[in-house]
Amino acid sequence: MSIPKEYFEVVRETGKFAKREFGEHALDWDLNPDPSHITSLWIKSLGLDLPVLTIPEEFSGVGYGPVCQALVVDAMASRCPGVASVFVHHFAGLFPVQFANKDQQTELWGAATGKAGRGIAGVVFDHDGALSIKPSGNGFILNGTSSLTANAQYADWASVFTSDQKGNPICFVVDNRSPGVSLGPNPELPGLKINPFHSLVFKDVAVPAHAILCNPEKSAQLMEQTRDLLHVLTAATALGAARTAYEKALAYARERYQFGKMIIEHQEIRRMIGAMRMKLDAATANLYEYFEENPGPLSRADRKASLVKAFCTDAAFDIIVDAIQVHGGYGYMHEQGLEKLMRDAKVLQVLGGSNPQLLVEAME
Amino acid sequence: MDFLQPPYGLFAPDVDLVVNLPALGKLREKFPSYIFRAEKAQAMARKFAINHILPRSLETDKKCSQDPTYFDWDLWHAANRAKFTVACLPEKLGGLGWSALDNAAALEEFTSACMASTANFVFNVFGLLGSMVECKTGIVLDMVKKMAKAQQEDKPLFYSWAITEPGAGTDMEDACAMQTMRPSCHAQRVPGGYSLSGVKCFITNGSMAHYVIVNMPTDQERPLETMATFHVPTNAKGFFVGRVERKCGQKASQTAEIFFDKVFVPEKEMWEPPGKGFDHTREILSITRGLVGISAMGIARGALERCIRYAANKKTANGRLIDQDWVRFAIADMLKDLHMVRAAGYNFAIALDTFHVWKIFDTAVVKGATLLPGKILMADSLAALANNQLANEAGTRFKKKIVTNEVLDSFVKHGSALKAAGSDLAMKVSSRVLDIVGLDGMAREFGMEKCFRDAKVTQIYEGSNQANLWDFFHEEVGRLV
Ligand SMILES: Cc1cc2nc3c(=O)[nH]c(=O)nc-3n(C[C@H](O)[C@H](O)[C@H](O)COP(=O)(O)OP(=O)(O)OC[C@H]3O[C@@H](n4cnc5c(N)ncnc54)[C@H](O)[C@@H]3O)c2cc1C
Repeated sequence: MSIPKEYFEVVRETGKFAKREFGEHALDWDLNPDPSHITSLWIKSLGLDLPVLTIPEEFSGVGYGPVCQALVVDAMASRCPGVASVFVHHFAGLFPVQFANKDQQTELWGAATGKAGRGIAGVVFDHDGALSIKPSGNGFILNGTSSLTANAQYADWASVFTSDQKGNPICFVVDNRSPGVSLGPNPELPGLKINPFHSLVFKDVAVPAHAILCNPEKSAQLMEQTRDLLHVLTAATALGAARTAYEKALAYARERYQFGKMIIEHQEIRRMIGAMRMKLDAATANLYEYFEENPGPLSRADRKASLVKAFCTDAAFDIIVDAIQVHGGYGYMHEQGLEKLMRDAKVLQVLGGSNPQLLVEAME
Repeated sequence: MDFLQPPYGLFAPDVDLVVNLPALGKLREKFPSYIFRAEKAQAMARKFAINHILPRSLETDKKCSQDPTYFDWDLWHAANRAKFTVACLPEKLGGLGWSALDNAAALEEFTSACMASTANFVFNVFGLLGSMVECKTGIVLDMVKKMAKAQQEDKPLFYSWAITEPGAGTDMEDACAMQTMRPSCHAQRVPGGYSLSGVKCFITNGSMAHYVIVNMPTDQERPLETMATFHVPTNAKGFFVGRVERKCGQKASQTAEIFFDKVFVPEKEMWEPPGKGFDHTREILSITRGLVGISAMGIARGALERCIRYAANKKTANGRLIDQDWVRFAIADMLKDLHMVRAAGYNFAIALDTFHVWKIFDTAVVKGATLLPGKILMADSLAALANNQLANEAGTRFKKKIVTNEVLDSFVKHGSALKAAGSDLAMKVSSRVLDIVGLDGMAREFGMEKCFRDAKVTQIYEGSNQANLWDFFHEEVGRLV
């Protein structure tokens, strides 16, 4: 597909930014996931307009679509999938806002673009029906415990998709700083450690009427589109991680001497690295073919996004595991960085629905 | 975490050795005590795994992620008191007299709870295995006495086996590769013995060891022809421990760099002369690779059982997770592979009893000797008697008659296949169960993500799976084509 020139510029800058700002720290952050790492990184990333990439120009954003977002998170993920995942969920959280009315947009975009506050967004899907709302005045009261959610620790607000008391889909924005909102325990997932998942616990949280983003019909469609955006951005994150693993394996194979030659000279190592390359190329093609079929702001909701996510994250996982193998014992050590990628990729495989589950659902 | 446990696997009320491997029934007809003892070992190990390993493995894993040098001494002492540290010694000598089958049955239970914790009280068997290669009566008896005494006094006695160096992993495990290796270690001839220098890396228990069994060439230009094996006390001058590695998993088991700076080793502590070092490695691998395969199968089993428990208790929009068709197929598929590898694993263990060093315990000489009262067996006078050249050579000859080169070839073959199969299973299963249980089930408390982190290394150590497959091919068909 043809990618606008200006996107490449953004990607180049993002790459430099990622290398400079967290490339060196990713392993340390994995061990010590202090939230201040992300909050200060976020402020720096505003200098590059990264957090406002998707916000329409008329609201002082950049107005770039999903393809550009994918390229950006890929570039970040090649240094740290955990950091990339913060942006992924932020972009997904912002997505529904563009369909709200002007006033709401002005307010919400303002939160993200304004220098006050961090403006990090999140997104909550309530597939299990664990949330309940009951009307109160013009708005309603929200209760329940969400499923595990990324950005829980960072997001000032989140787009929530659930059903109202009549069972109709509803999409609204909840301010995470409002009274009654707290974090559930940290489940300590093995990967994406800098972005610890938590459930959001809502206890009698008052949601005002103007926080409701759209009508039920539109909400259902928006939910699917948002979920699909999350899927494709997750796929892009996996690609970034996989590319790093592939490059590391290739470089190491060229410099490691064993069995009388550089190990790249062994056919079996070539086969493994060849398979990595094949999977990386196929996964990349899979993702960008999706964008070609679905140009613009995800014009159609399509289960295909979940297949793309499953394929790309599975491919990335396989690539990373083999990259560890090529490194022998070194690959298993934290300092090599590959085992972290493996843990990160494992979380990507189940994020937003585990891959086999997604395949089953896609064919329903 | 509170679970309604399906009474399955680790939580089955009764031992299930013969249930899982019905073919053992035939063996039981002829040798009832052989199977009965294995069932006893399984029961003991299962109880220990439930009462001691399971309750603390997650916490230990966490402590070790913060500090890789943390060691769970309480667990070690509990294992030592249960004599698991000396399980393979004859009962008369203070051990449990475990056959290879008993060992396999116990290993599976232990490692399904936590392989890294298991390594801490099982892997010091490298010392005994190392000494059994030459089987010099003096050395073996000395080793046995030391082990038994330490166990009785509840004092740790750790052995490490150090072959890998920064520039040579696979190269230390294959004869052809060794010919072309670029050694960084060197054993220099000096009056009265050898002076060892160099670095060994990724050494299990390298930081805990009281003794290290180490391979180094006396001529770096001719590594295969001059590789020798030394037995080195770690309090020797010039020995020191480098960093303890921060790993992906198996954190409870320490992996360290160790340094030799002109460490003097007297002649008598050279266990294999120059040129014989590789054979020593290969003989140990002929046993340990298969046992790693069995242990890795244990990891897979542990992951699967945790997954089954979780899925049986997890409610979804369409009933329990375990009621979903796709989940049932996935679990069945994995259980099927588990059964296949388990069968191969026990086949290997029984073969160890039938043909390998365990067979020695079945010979008239050793049977006769172990009839002697334990006091006499452990007496210094007997040790002195055993430690003369004649007795030593007799020991070597006696053992080499049983464990011939053909036997070794066959065990390298089967062991390598089992190691690759078990470790591939561990990796595949521990990863796939996370896909089944999803984000919620991946939470640390359920233990499955730890199984996953622990599994990967089984494809790497004891020779990478590529090295194992290479050996397997060579032994199975390579010689013929
Ligand atoms: C946790 C842990 C514990 C360990 N404990 C011990 C211990 O107690 N004692 C000890 O001595 N060692 C130990 N090791 C080291 C382990 O045995 C080595 O890591 C292993 O042998 C692989 O060697 P390497 O890491 O140097 O990889 P390399 O030998 O450098 O191999 C790199 C890659 O090249 C591949 N390769 C090499 N040759 C070929 C070929 N001809 N064809 C195809 N592929 C090839 C390998 O399969 C691997 O994928 C441990 C390692 C770990 C991670």
